[in-house]
Amino acid sequence: MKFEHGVTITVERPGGVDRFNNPLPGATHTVEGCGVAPAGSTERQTDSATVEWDYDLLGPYSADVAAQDVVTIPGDVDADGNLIRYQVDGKPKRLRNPFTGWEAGMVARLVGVEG
Amino acid sequence: MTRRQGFGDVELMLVGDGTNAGHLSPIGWCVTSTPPDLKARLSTGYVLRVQRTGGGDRKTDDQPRVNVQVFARRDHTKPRDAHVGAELVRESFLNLPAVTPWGRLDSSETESGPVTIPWADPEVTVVQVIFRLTTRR
Repeated sequence: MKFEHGVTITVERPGGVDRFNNPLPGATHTVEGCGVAPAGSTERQTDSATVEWDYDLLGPYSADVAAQDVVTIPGDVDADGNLIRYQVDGKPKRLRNPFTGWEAGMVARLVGVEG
Repeated sequence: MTRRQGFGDVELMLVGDGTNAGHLSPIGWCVTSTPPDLKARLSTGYVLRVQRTGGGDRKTDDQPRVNVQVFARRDHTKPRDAHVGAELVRESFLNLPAVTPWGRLDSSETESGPVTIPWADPEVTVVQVIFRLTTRR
């Protein structure tokens, strides 16, 4: 699977966590040929202005994306012009056709939070 | 018959308003509901969410139970930052009494010490302390 107008995402992988579960500095790499699809949004209205929204990240079968990674998408910025940092939620799924062996691609759930 | 003045609003005493600072304002940006630009605020310091969650009164004293949540950025270089902020809040309540434009903060007791609570954004940490304050008309 190849996207004619895919984007190159940046993936930050923490180098583990400290004893308080804070991510330690790790490595950054890019993945070409990705696409994103909207996957829903929720909003809290009681004691915070928190908005959460999801994307399905679609990419090559062998895309180096894993749980705990943080992903940024070119041009996807907040009100202050900063790139929005998406948390990869759970393990990315990789789709291979069991009859033909065709490697269709990878799907990962991205979660963004504002507020 | 003279009408009695009501008790002061403890959330105003702690948070302040657009004109006057509240008792906790020196520690961070104080709110009763977290703002949409929470993370941008956290890049310059703490955000404190202050909410009255109960408590009654006697003739001259109001005794609100107040929930103070200290928000900080998750950062391995300052792993206990939110806890440090919570201690600043506790220290500020050692310096009572204090007079605010909305009433007098007389004294405080800590009902529940600092505990970490979950937050939707994994890049934010929150520590909560619950106080029983005494304020006077």
